[in-house]
This record gives sequence, C-alpha cells and structure tokens, in this order.
Amino acid sequence: MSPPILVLCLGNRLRRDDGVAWRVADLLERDLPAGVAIVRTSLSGLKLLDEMEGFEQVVLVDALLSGRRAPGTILSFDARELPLAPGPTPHVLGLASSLSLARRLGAAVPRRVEVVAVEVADASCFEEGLTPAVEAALPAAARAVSEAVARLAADEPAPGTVTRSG
Amino acid sequence: MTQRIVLDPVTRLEGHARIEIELDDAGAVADARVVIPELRGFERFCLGRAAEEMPRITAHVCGVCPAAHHIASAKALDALYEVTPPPAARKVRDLYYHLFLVEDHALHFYYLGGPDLLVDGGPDALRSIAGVVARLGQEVGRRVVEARRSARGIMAEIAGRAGHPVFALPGGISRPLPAATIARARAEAPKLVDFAARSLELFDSAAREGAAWRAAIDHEAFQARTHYAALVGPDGEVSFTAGELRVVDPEGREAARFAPERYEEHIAETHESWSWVRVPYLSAKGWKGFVDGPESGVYRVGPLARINVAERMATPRAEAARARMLEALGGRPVHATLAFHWARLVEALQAAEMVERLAADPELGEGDVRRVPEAAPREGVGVVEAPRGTLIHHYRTDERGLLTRARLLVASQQNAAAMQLTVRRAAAALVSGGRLEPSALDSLEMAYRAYDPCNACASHALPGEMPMEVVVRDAEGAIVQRLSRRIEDPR
Repeated sequence: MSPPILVLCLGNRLRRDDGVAWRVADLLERDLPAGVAIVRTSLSGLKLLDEMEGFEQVVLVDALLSGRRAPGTILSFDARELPLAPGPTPHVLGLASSLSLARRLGAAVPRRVEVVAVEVADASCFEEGLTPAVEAALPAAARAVSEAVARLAADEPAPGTVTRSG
Repeated sequence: MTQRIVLDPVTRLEGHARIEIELDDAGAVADARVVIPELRGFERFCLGRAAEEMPRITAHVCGVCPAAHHIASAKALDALYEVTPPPAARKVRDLYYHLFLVEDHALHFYYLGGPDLLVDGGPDALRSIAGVVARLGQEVGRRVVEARRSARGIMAEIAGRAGHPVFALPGGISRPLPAATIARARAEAPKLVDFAARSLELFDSAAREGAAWRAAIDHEAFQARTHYAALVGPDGEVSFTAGELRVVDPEGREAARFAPERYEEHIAETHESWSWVRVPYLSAKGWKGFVDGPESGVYRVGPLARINVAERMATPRAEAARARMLEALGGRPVHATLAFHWARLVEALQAAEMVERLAADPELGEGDVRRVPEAAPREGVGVVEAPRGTLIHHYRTDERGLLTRARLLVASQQNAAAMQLTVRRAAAALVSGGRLEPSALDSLEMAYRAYDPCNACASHALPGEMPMEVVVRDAEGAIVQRLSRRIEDPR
C-alpha cells in the first residue's frame, strides 16, 4: 500500500470565507478513500509545517484572497509555483517560505504539496458561515481535491495551474 | 509645514506590514509609524455565546499562540465560575504551557529573530535560517527540529492536538494525565533543558560576537526608556501562569502591583485615527503620545519586560543566565530593544526547567482533575504571560453563562506604542537627505522583529506572505520612496 496522503484544510472558520477549507473537509469525509487522512487546522507559517510532519504527499486546501477573480473560482497548482517573499515575523510567513526554510534546515518536509485554493469574497470579519458564491463552490472544490489526491496516488505530475469556476 | 496623511490601515489584500515615514521640509523625519491591524469585530462575535466555548474559540483566533489563548481563557472561566481547579489540573495545564513556551521561543530565536544576530550583514537570502545553518552547521538545525518535535509530541498527548488544544475546562481539565505521558515528559525534559542551555551558549558565542548585535545593542535608535509590566510570582520571580501584575518605572522601581482582575484600574486605552489598534497605556501616567521616559504612560510587555519587572527567575539555571545577562547589559532595567532576544532565551531555559520540575511532581498524575462549577457566573479575568507578553481575557456573562462582554488584551497591542517609538527613532537615524538607503529596510525590520508583533489573528488566506513595505512621504504627503520585498499574486 502506498504511504498515506494528507489533505490539510487550512483556515479559520470564525472568519467567514476563510473557513472554506474546513467545509470542504466536511464534504470529503463523507466518502474518504483509503490511505487519505484529513486534518483541519488554523495554524499558520512555520507551525503549519508541523501539521505535515510524517507525510510525503500533501494536498493543502486554502482560501485565496487575490481580489482579481470571481469569488468561488477554484485554483489547483503545485506549491512550488508559490512566490517566495519572507515577511518580517513568523506570523506572516507564507507556505512557500516556510517550506523553503524547513527544507534548508534539514527538517522533514513533504516531497510534494499540491494546493487547491478557493477565491473568497470576505475573510476580514468575525462571522461564521460562507458567502453565497463560496458556499456554491464547495462541491467543485471537493472534486478538485479528490482529483489532486488521485494524481498524488498515481504519482502523476501536476497539470500546471488549473482554474475553474465553482 | 508637515502634512499629516490619514491612511487606511493595512488590509489583507495589500498584504503588507507597512511603515509610513513622513518627512519635514528639510527632508528629516517628522513622523513614522507602523500600521497594524487588530482583532476587529471579535468581541461582537462572542456576544451571546456560552462562555465555556471560549477556550476553544479563542484558540482559533491565533495561528501562532493557540496555547496561550486556551489557558488564559480557561483561567478566566475559573474566575467566572469562582472555582479553583485541583492541583493536578493546574499542574497539567502548566506542563502544557511551559512546553509551548520552549517550542515557541526556540522557533522565534532560530528562525526569525536570531538570524538578524547570527548572520552578519549579507544579502537578504542569507539572513534566514539558511544563513544560520550555513554559519553554525546542520547539527544546530537538527537540534532545533528535535527539541520542537519533542515538546509538541508531549503537548499533543496532553491536549488532544498540539496546536488546537481542547483539554482545559472551567474548574480543571478533561481527563487525568496518563502514566505513559508522564513517563515521556520525564524522559524528554532533561533534553529540553539541555537544548535551552545550549541555545544560550550559542547566543553568547555567536550572536553577541556578531556585528549586528554590537552595532544595535547600544544604538540610540534601539533604546526605549519605558515602563514595563508583567506577572510575577509570590517571591517576585518570573511567572508565566500565575501571580500578580507588577509595573516598574524606567528606573526599575515598582510603580504598581495588583491582582490581574484589577487591570482596568491601571491600564487605559487611547485610539489613534490612523490605526485600528487601540493603544493601551498606564492610566496613572496618562497618555502623552509616543514618547518614553518616567512621565510617559507607554509601557512594554514581553520577555525583556518580564526580566525587568521580576526580582529573579523561578529556576536555578535560568537565574544564573539572567544574572549573566544583566551583568553584561549594565543591570536592570535593560532598555535596549535588542535584548528581547537574549531575554527570550533566558525564559526558554526557565520554561524547560519548569517542564522538568512539573514532570517530576507526584501530584501531576492524580485522578482528581476537575471541580464542577456551581456558582452563578458573572465576571472573570484570566491572565497568562504569552511568549510576546501579558495576555488578558476578560468575560462578563448573564446568569445563564452567555457572554455579555468579551475583551482580549493581547501582547502586541500593549507593545504597539513602544514599537511606534522604536520605529520612529530607527527611521530618524536612517533617513539622510530625505532618502532612505535600501539597507534601512533590514534595520527597520529588525526593530519590528524584536517585538515579534503578532498579526496572525488576521485570516489565513493565501498569499499568506506579508513582507515589510516602507513608504516615505515628503512634507506635502507625496510618496517619494517605496521600499519593499514585494509579492505578486501567487497565480
């Protein structure tokens, strides 16, 4: 049996759309393939890597706030495509920098991380529940995660950035 | 004339920790400030919820310090329901919390603050853990990873998961600590003590010898003669989870000492129009603006504040380390902002020694771990010393225990005024002839990093990186210069 794949769902469900990945986790759990683990987390920066420890392959599900796409748009891409731009404190260190730092430190990091990101409308206020466009994108987001898991299980390369509307 | 620009605070969309510098007609610094977001809307979010949900809710507020919020919240609930947890419950909470301090302080020193000091000058890329490893070797890197893994492993056994604790309840904890976890903590504790002690040796041999430390430790721009506030234990020792709040003045004399639930008699807040952050100050001194000195209400919290406020450390090896630090820096209080880094490591040693002490405590494994609350709830305050400083949770409820008020006073907010002061001084020293040298970004970031301000209560959406941006405006408010490590949309 191939080693387990981690689906790491990152976000804060107290901050409206920022919790989208937690809702995707709820959907995925209904029909979880063998050898896939789901973890929900609100940790950020380097502490996010702690959640990945022990896994060779990870699908990271997250909210994306670019303001340049329609809310509910889903992106799939390899984490290596994320830009590096270290911030001034660990609290604002992004995934790309965290992976890069940990790798150089000699810490165990996953061999492969694929990202499934959902463009969100509102992640700034304290409120539970998603905005309508993001809510409507949940099934498509869950499918995008399942496809990413299948690619990792079959050791297929990421197809480059895939964009789809929710 | 100088022109004052009212700016929108930084947003997630901009994704920058922003410093604004205003010049006067002569091209010198008239003003400078850091723009910091705060926990907007959180208090409103909490209203009407059951208070007993708060240890779990607040642990999700922050992606960096969930442990501190969880324990501060549980303590506020103990007070709200007027219930004292049994000794084993208090000790298990303390064990978890001290493990957290060791791993968090280590993370900060080796990954973020330390590289400023351990790697001299050099290009940006080197000023990172890669630079630390290049300079000190893979062996140091391996030790950091091992120590953090060890601490987090025990934390996960205590709390359910290391990062998202669910074990502390009003009146105690959810279950007795299993014998296997106690055995593991006993076996691992000496290694954590050893790791913390070696980190201090490394600081002595590498950081203090470095050019960055020597240039900045005595630099006027990195001094702030403020008051300091922190919890102290009954013997005046550094204490992270219990005791009274003590304030010392810039000469190190006691200015106030009070039970945590009376904090509102001593700490007031002002509001600056350019920031969302309400700025706390000492009400006995009043708000005099972003200035230091004995008459200013500006105070600092955090590792250096704790060392300045306390009479001693709580454990022997940390006390020896504290004495060495104070001797080297000219005695207490230490006003050099860079000394936060040294103080952090002294504290990591105390935390590790406390882990060892608690793990050996025969009461730790007792089965009685909860007093079920019976009193009608009304109001409760809980305080811990979070890695970045004093953290206060304050709840009021109706008779059913539903929140009518929830207030969180976090460390970064309390340090906001002093951070403004530091950045303003650093900017004044770095601007010449109306221009900022590109290398000034490093120095401004270093000033910012010493406080380790936490904005992780913002959302976690990608891009997630928040590089520093410095904007310089002339006397008319026009942007004359912009320095940043820019980030583009990830896709």
